[in-house]
This record gives sequence, C-alpha cells and structure tokens, in this order.
Amino acid sequence: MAEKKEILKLSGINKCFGNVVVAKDISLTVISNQLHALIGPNGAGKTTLIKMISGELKPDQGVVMLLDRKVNHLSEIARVHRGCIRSFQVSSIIGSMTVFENILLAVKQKRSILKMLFRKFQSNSSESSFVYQTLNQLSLETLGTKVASTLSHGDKRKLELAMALAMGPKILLLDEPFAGLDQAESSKLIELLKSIKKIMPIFLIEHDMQAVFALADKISVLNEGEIIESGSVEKIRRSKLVQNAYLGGDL
Amino acid sequence: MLTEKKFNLIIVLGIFAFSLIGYVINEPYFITLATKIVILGIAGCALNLILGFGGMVSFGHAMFFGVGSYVAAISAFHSMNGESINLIFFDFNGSNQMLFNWFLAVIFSMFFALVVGSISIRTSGVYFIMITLAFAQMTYYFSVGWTKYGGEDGLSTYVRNDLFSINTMLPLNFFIICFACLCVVGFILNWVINSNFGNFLKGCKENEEKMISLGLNPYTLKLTAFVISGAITGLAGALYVDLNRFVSPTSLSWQTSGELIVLVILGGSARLFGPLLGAIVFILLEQFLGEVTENWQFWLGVILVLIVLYFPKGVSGLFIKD
Repeated sequence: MAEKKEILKLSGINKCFGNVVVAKDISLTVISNQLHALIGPNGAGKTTLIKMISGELKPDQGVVMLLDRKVNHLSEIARVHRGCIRSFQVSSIIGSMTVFENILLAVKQKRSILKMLFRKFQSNSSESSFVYQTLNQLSLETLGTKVASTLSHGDKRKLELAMALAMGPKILLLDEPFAGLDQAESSKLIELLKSIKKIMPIFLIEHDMQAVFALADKISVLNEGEIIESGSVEKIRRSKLVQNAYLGGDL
Repeated sequence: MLTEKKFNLIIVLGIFAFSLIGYVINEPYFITLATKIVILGIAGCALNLILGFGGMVSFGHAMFFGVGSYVAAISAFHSMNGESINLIFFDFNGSNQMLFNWFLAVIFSMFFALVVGSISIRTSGVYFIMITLAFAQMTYYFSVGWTKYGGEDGLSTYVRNDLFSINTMLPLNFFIICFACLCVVGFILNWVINSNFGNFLKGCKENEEKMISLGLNPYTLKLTAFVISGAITGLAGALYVDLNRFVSPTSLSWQTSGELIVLVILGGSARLFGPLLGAIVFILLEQFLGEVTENWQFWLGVILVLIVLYFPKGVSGLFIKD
C-alpha cells in the first residue's frame, strides 16, 4: 500500500475580525488520496479557513504547512505555484472566452511576462490534446467551442473544476462545488470527484450532506470557528455533539 | 457585416485614400486632417489597450501624450537654437532627427507610465480614474509654470524634424510617415492583444480574482499593459508636435484625456482599430459640424449619449460581426 503523505497540515490556526473570532485553534491534516470534508452551519468560518489555506487571508496565529513546508509567509500566487489550487463558491470562469480558451489559460499560466508577450494565445498539439483530455475527463468535450458565459450552471462548475485540474494541483480546495446543482448533476459530480480523489487530495467545503457522506474519507465539523468533531463518516453520523450543533437531529 | 480584419483594412485604406484625394485635388488641408486622424488614432488605440482590453479607465492619458510632445519639442527646440541642456553627466544639444526624438519621447513616456502606473494600478474603478487625472493635472500645471519652454504660451519648433532625406515639410510625406507609424503600432497592438499576455489581460478585466487563483499577478500584467500604452501614446505626442510644429500645456490637459476616451467610446472599445474609427468620426464632426454651428461639441455630446445608450460597441460595432 502506498505511503500516506501529509499534503496539507494546519496547526493551531486562530483568526479574529475585530472582536469576532472566526477561527479558534484549528488543526487538521489532509493526506494524499484523501477527501477531507469540512462541514458546518453558515457563518461557521469555513470559507475564511479556505482563504487562510489559499493565502488570501493570513491567520493571526498558527501554522499552514503545504507539502511539509511552512507557507504562512507565501502569497496566494506563490501557493498556487506550489500546487494549492482552489475553486470558488460562485463559479469563477472567464465568461467571454470559450470553454477551450478557459482551460488553455490554466495550461499557459506558468509563463513569464516576456514569454506571454511573445507567444500567441494558441495551443500546440500537446497542449491541445491535454485540453481535450481534461474536457473528456469532465464530459465537456462537446462544449469546447462554446462561449463560457452561455453554459449551464452545472457545466460552469465543471469548467471551473477542469481549469483547476489543468493546472496540475498537489491539492484541490473546493468551496461548495455542489451549490446550485440539480440531483443529476450532483450525482455526476460525485462520481467525478471519486475518480479525482484517487490521484490527488481534496479539501472540500460543502453543505450537501449526501455528497459529503458519499465522498469523504474524513469529515471535520466547524462550529463558531472551532472544530467540534473530526473523524470518519460513521463517527460524524453518530456524534451527538454534531447533531446538536449543526444537523439538528438524527442523520 | 465585416470581419474585423476586413474592417481594419478598409479603415486604414480609407484614411490613405482620403489623403491621396487631398493630394490629387491639391487640397493639403485634407492631408493634414488625415494626418491628425492617424496620430489621434494611434493615441486612441494605445489607450484602448488598457481601457478596452484591460478595463482600466485612465483619465490621465494626456500626460503621456503631452510628455511625448514636450520631450520631442524640447529636443527639436535645442537643436534649432544651438543652446545645450546640461544633464549633469553630459551636455545634450537636442536633435532634429525624428527617429531620435521619437525614441526619447517613447522612453520618457514609458518612464512616466511606469511611475504613475505602479501607484495608480494599486487602485481601481473611480479611484483609478481620479488618481490618473491627478497625475496628469500635476504635469499640466508644471508645464504651465515652465516658462523656459513657453509656459502657458507653449513652445514653437517652426520646422519639422528630419527623417533620412525625406522632405517632411511636404504634407503627403509627413502623412506617409505617420501612416507607417500607425501600421507598426497596429501590428504591435494586434500582436499584444492576441498573445498569451493579451488574453490574461482580458481575463484580469473580467475576473481578477480568477487570475490570482491561476497563479498570475494582475498587478504585473496591468502595469505592463499600462507602460506599453503610455509608450505608444508618447509616440503619438511626438508625431503631433511635428504636425503642428508647436506644443502647449493643452496637450497635457484633462480635456485632451477626455478626448482620447471619447475616441475609444465613439469607435468602440472591444476592437483594435475601433478608436481609429472614433478618430475619423471625431475629426470629421469637428471639421464639418464645426462649419455649420459653433456649438458642434453639443451635438458631439448628443451623439456620444446615443452611442453609449444604443451602441455600446461603438460605431465599429455597426460594421463588425461578432
């Protein structure tokens, strides 16, 4: 069996906005090939935590480790270059470009400014096949020439995921990817994430409990900035603490 | 409806034909009008790189136009009167060579764009508009008080600079020089817009947060575009000095910045040569409407309002298919 490696490790993360505590001594670990889900009621501090992992916000205290290296001092952009790739709560794509071009942006993002200036925005054969491979992976292959703003909500979510995958992430941070999806789209996304988590770790924030229970290897429950429970799906299902704080009844 | 390539070709050939007609019917004024269109078109297209493709509404682009103008004019002025400028390490005697003065104008405009851009691009929206305006007004008031170079009255250079052995005083010759500059600038801007850089810049305009999540630094992208835009606008300024053989603080004023924005809006910000069409419409309205009524700016205002309301893609949007 392959060795389980710690990809992301948070230790003692604290964050306040004025008098409001949004993260209280949060520690968690995401290991390779694992989907770690973070659940919690609205306002629990889930998105703030993902922002601290991605580098958009700095924690007041605590350590963020990415691939065994402390990254607190690194900017959001530097963390992306280290493979920490995130998706947003609201689909974040370039609406005026085609689906193919959106993914091509993600493929070409590692160039320097000079190389960007002197190269045309077009794909060579290996980039083209990589983009189509990514499109196939997400069942978007027929939509390559479509302008991204005209896609359905579900396809926009998939496109955003495709852009993240095209960047070759070491870890994926997904912020409510199931938001606004219908039952059929959710089922497809669950199957897709099941296949993705085999090749890379995923840190998932989600309200859709059906999706979380179907996907998660580990769940942490955040309430008022504090992790009140962490463990397997079964442990979380049975936890009275979680039921009282968040789920409001039996699962 | 035309493809953008055909549209660009028709616009460029149309301006050239207009100038040739002026030559054939011996009406140099037509050639001067065409030259003015070309120069303002270059400045408009440069502004459009950051406004239309980068989403940065600079209300201070007259600064780069004026800096280019003043640098070229001062160099020509010193070459003419034989008085050198002491630049600490060496004495500069000025130059009457167009290429050299263009080079100086571009370098100085780039430097100004780098300094102003590195501060302004930290802001966005209305703050960006105001900060670029403030910088431009600073240079405007500096030029008004710079009596050594004419202050409020401006500075005359009397003759055009030289370019190889071409007689630049002939209107058609000077038009062809400006037209060649337009072609080169068009090629450069077309390249930039269609490069990886240009597409990331468009991405920044639409979704800056996404560009960061792709590992790109929007600040660097926008600053690079700002500097390229400033440099080309400076070149247009240097050409404008040679056209008029005169420069005044007006070239640095907020009205000039406003006119450049008008060119972009009139012509259409989504297209490479939209502002060139904007320059054609603007200059023709100024000339021909100006003959009919003194209040031609009022009618220009009416036209602008109608375009913003009903043709957000500008006049070029009426001819180019998406």
